[in-house]
Amino acid sequence: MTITGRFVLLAFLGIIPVALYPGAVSILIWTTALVLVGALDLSLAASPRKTGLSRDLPDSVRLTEACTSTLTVRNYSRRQLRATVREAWQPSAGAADAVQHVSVPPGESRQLLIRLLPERRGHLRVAQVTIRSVGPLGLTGRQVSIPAPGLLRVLPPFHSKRHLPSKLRRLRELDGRAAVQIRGAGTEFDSLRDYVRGDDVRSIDWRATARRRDTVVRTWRPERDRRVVIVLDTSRTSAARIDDEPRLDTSIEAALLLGVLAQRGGDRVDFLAFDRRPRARVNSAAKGNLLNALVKAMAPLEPELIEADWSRVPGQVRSISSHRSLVVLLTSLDSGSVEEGLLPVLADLTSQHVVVVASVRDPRLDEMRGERQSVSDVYRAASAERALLDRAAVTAQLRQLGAEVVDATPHELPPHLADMYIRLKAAGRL
Amino acid sequence: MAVEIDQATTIEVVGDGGSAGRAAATRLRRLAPWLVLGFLLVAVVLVGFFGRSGQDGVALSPANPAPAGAMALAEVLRGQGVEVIQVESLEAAAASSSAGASTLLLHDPDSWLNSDQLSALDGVADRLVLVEPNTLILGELAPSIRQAGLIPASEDTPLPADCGVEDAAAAGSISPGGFAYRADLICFPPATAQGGPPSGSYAATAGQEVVALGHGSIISNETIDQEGNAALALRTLGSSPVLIWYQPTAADLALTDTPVDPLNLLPDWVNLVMLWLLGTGLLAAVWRGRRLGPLAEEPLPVVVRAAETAEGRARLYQDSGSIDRAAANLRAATLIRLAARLRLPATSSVTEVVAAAARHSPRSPADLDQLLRTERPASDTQLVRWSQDLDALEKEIDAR
Repeated sequence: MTITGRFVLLAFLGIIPVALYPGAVSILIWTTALVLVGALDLSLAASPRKTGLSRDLPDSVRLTEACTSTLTVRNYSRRQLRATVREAWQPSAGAADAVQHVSVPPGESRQLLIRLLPERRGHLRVAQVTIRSVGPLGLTGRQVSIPAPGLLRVLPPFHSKRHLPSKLRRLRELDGRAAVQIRGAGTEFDSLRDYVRGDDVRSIDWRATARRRDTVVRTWRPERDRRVVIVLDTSRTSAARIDDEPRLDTSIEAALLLGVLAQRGGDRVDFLAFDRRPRARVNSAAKGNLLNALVKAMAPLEPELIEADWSRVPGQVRSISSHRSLVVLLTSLDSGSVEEGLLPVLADLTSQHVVVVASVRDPRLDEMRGERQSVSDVYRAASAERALLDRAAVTAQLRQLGAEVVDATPHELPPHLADMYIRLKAAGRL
Repeated sequence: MAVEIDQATTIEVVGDGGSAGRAAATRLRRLAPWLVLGFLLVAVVLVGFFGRSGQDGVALSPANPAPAGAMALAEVLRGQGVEVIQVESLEAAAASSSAGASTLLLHDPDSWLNSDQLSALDGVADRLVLVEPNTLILGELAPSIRQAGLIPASEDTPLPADCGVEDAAAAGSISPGGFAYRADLICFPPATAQGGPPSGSYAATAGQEVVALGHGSIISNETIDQEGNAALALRTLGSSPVLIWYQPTAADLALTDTPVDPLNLLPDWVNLVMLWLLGTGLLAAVWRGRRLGPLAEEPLPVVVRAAETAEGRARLYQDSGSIDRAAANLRAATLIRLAARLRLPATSSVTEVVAAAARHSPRSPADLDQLLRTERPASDTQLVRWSQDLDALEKEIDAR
């Protein structure tokens, strides 16, 4: 049971008889009239419990893209339904018009379009729909909250997609190069072609030359069907915000770009999100679009506030691929967590695989380093220098153990990681 | 983690499985503890309001059973057949001068009455008992009794009667304290009296028409059973069949000019309209206060800025005054960057870096050596200047 502004206005108008005929009688009469009219209106309101609700939601939506939740309201009562309907989306779903007015004749249905502009990646939920049905006079109403759960999957935005064309072009340039043009441009035999001046004489295929009159050279192409295992660290360090974006989200962008690039490069991509146990997994053997599978697996990932258990990572990687693979670890280079977690197990990984450790670098540290105006500025600069020195030391230790390190600011990490992949591929190290 | 819900939810939901009656019952059940609490609160307030009727908290009031009250004395007097009348106002006190012999007890420690009002009490009763009277009261009602100051607190032995007044002699002695007076008849003189005319805690005019009791506590519930307090009080106040007990209040304050009550100038309907507006306001509160369904929950992410640890460490450096450590960090970082910039191996020593830097900088090798190697800032000011110098050097070499 609710009352409306109109009811309050009607009560306010009672001030006229009360002022003109002061006394208990006018008050009593007006109060009784209010109660009677309100009760009449309430009894004539359509029952919100006799309302059918069904919802149509898109399967998934990318962050920063808008979508629409279509709510169909069907009136099963014998009275006209005049209602205010609220679809209780969680605030980050960005429902601009979650409260709508609707009038449904008996037996008919109406559609409400609720525009959603999600502000966060992940699973966004709606728990219930509240219907406030008012009577024909619009004085009083009945209100019921009907549980109607819904889920909208908000996928990572993949902003780094814009780097994809240029990186793919570089990848294609690797194909069909003669051995002379680039050292170690691949180890797989590609094709034979006529010798042109400038080709390395060592790549002349004498047997083929003997068969034909012209001199023929072999060309090479980068290896294909290598395995790329992307391991995303979802432990506590991934919760830290850099440039107002959690490290996890930046890592997701980098993983997406690398995954798509490696797949176009003919390699098999596996994805694993891990802290103390696997949080998400995408298998290279699975059918269907890799990008779709990746974003779906990444959508619900949240930083877990626990320490990562790196000792289990080699086992996890082994269960994904028993062959030599490119293992990309997207984590942080905080000295404490790396020294105690990653370093002890890194030798185990590098002995079998090519390991790349990719991490987001905080541009704020570089800003702090340069500000030397006041005493606190200088102390902050000193502290930032300490953090950067520690980071450099950790990087050096990782390199000593045979891992490659990509350490870049949030905007640069995805393209730099892609460059590292192309470089390794060009060098035939996969 | 996530409970998978069928995405294309086209299954229709009708109602919440309840009914209006059941919803009302649920709401009532949820409100029940508050309703019970509210009922208890109202009950306590009502009991407190009506349960104390007939009693008050005024000191020396005949209706006050607390230690500071005088209900015990009043009850005993009533038991002895004395009619104790508690009056609330000057008019009532003046009007109570009915037939028969009466005694008026006046206790006005806050001096609410002015001299005109006091003179109206003159002759109201046959006998006047003034409890701790001040100069104003004495001047109007008993000019022959005069104040003689306080009986010092150091006085701790009971005061003996030491006079021929019958009531006082019967009492023997009373508790010490209160004021002393000078008059024709005085009793219970303080032991430490310093020369001058004699004074006492009990003073009376020659005919005993007016009696001043210097120590009001002797009639209080707390101390009436001590010494001869009870005897003195009963004899002094119980000598006539009617005792008028008057303690002036703020209501007796004589107003020089009665202001016009502004409420009287308003028309009759204003109060009713105000009442109606109050009711309308409550309705408006209900209208605006009713939420459209429960709040939607938002699982909020943790917000940790990555640079926070560095900021925290900076404050630690500053608070503990770790100038050396801060300088070491700045020096090491600058040297490593310079070495990289000057194409020196990472293992090169400080002197090598200084020598290489000297070749790329207009500064003298000695200056550079001091800046990069030997200088140890001792204060915050020096640290700031030195670090700015380091920064300038890096920029110089970068610019070349």
